[in-house]
Amino acid sequence: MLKVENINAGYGNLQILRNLSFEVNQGEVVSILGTNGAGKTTTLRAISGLIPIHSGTVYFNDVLLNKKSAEFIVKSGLVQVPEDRKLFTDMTVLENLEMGAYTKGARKNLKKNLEYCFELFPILKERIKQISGTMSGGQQQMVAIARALMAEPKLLILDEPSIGLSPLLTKQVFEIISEIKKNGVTILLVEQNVNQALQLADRGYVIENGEVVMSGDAGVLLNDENLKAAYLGITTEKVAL
Amino acid sequence: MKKSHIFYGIGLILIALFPFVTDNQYFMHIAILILYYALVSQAWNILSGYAGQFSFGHAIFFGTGAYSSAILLSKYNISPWIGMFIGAIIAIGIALLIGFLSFRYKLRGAYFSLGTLAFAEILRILVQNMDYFNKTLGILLPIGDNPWLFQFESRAGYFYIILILTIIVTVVAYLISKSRLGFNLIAIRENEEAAQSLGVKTFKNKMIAIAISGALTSVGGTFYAQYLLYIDPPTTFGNDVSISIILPAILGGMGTILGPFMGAIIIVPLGELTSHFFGGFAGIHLMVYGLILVLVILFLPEGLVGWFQEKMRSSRLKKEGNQNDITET
Amino acid sequence: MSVELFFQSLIDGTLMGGIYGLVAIGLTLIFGVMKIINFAQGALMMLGMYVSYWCFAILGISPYLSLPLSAIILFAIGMTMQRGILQRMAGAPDHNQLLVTLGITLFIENLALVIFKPDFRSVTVDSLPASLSFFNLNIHTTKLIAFLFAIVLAIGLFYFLKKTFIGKAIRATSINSQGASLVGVNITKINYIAFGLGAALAGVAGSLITPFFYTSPTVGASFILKGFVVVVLGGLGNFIGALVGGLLIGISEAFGGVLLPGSLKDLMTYLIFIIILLLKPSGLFGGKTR
Repeated sequence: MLKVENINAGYGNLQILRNLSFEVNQGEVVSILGTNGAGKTTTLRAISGLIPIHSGTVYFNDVLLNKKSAEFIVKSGLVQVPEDRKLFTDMTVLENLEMGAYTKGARKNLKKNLEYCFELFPILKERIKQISGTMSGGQQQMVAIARALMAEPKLLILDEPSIGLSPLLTKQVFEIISEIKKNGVTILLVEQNVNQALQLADRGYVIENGEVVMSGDAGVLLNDENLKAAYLGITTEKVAL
Repeated sequence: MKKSHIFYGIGLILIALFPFVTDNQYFMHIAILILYYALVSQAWNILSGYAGQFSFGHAIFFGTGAYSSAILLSKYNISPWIGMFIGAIIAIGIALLIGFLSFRYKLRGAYFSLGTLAFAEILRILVQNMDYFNKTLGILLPIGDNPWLFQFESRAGYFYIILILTIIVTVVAYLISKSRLGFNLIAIRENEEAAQSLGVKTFKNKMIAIAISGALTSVGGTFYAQYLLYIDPPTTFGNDVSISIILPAILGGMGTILGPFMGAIIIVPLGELTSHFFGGFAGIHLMVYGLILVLVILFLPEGLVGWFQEKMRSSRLKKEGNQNDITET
Repeated sequence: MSVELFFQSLIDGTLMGGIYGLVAIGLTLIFGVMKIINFAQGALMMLGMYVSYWCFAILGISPYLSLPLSAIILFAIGMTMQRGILQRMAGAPDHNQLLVTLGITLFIENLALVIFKPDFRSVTVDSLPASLSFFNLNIHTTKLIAFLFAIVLAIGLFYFLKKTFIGKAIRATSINSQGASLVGVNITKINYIAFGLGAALAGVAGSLITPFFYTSPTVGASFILKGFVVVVLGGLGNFIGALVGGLLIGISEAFGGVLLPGSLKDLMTYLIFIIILLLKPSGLFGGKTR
């Protein structure tokens, strides 16, 4: 579905991504992992058209996305929940969700999708008229995810959905992502919480310094010694009892 | 002696010989205008180009200089030379007041610019409504030929005075740019918070900048009053004055020493030419100024001199890069 | 001050305040969406005045009928300004944006000066009584109509922004433009529309005042400064604040005109401006700071 090949991108003269390649197939959950500054968010910004791609290609359902505008990319079905959520903080929950359905296609099914979102996030239905900026971090995250769902994504991108959330809320968020996966939405998940991410994902890629350094099935990666040492802080030495 | 210093020295001598080359009064007038615009724009440059505090109301200092010397001459028979000095002192007072209010209350960017605009308008309205300043009638100054009263029979006299004054202001700006103060101002311009955290006394430095800028601008105002021999509130405190003060620096390059001068050399003759050819249409030269302003900001925001300096810098870096490659082999 | 004078000033100030509010709403809309301080708003208003003036002088049409034409023409001009010039300035420092709009103002005002000459022109609306009497108070009919129009427009705009999808998109863009991109909003198009709207509001304000204000190329200058005062007073980007601020400035100006001699009434406005800038730059109602 999504095929990213050898992309190079960055900010001004600073290059972040170096010949980065990965792909996401329909129905999958793919996770991109890496430490801070590895280039995960930059990758997502590049795919969604927020920053330009200097070279390389991004194909989504055989359509080249490189030079297209962010709106076009959303209209093609590639929708992102950004790391900082980018909510319309002065607008109500309902208005945020309505804005999620801005594209013509999504607008037709607005009522139906709204119902679906309220099923997934009952708390949003309660607080439908609340100004989103006044909500807690966890609730805002739900608004952000719901808003993206309103856009009827074919591929949903989530950039660090658990960031700043308590373990309990993180668990809730991942349960919801699991639900969304069950409903047939393809998901690209960027996470620092490696454990949770790989438990949910089918496959994963590890990025370091703007390049893919490891990839494979989620189960394999989860048990990989090197990965554990680097990102989970677990050593391979057995502790003497 | 550096190459550039010799260059400037020769240039200066050539300029000084100008009145001997021609006694066409119109050309002299243009030359005087160029120099006087360079002067006030350079003064503005110190506050806005170097310190980055963008003033849209510099007419307030200009008008102060003009009215101070004019009032002192017409009412108290005090020589404009002294008047110029007193005007500068009053301008410093006003500058410190505006500076205190603005900087103490952290007016930055557009808020500061609009604030200075308001201050200038306030003073204009006050002057315009007070009998002491002759309200809207303005002040007419006596013609004469007494140099001690800043009166010259021929334009050449005015030319040399403005030349000397402009040189003084340019030298002051140059010295500032190379001094600790200049360094601080640039740091403030680039990132005031960072400068402050590095120990730069931002408030004090900005106050010094606005005081110097105001004083020098008022000197220009005094010259204007004595040259034209008539002043009124709109032509000394008006918004048009503020705009014409900033235009040369923007075109030539804010934050550079040569900038205001380059800008004045282009803008003044351009304005005169347009007025000349389209004489029937009042205001056409302002249209051209507006167009230039838009084009410069869009395509050459660092001004002509700034752009040129950038080119020189990047070509020098390239050359050094090549040299390094050579030595490496 | 007599009670009559008090209420007369209050009324005059409120009526004029509606116009200031309209100009300020345009300014604040543009700022909210594009973070641009449109110095040319006064000049655009002046152009609106001339559209209505020429419709009146040549075709004999009342300014209230030529008002839509003024809105359309100014919408187009505003959109062109954004598309042709201001769009390229996105991300440029504050003062550069001010300078560009200042340059545009210089150009427009002097172009008008060259084409229309500096003459003061007036428009009359003969079909209406000059003024209405209300409890011994004098209400100029044309000022009243201007005020009512302004209020209706403000309410209309309010609903447009609240209820329509484009209106919501405009609000969303002004809150978080990247977020808006990510839900499929065409930011470039929204910017065109927002600027066009802001300019159209200025044009309409111009048309509305032609019956009681002389039309001349430099008329925009005083309105732009007052517009800024109102916008800062009400809070940058704050729609309701712009309207309320307009009324406040209109009223204080009216009282200033009665209490202070000569042209000192403008002094009131500028002093209020300075005080607000110093003490509460985010405005009485808060708004976005830059």
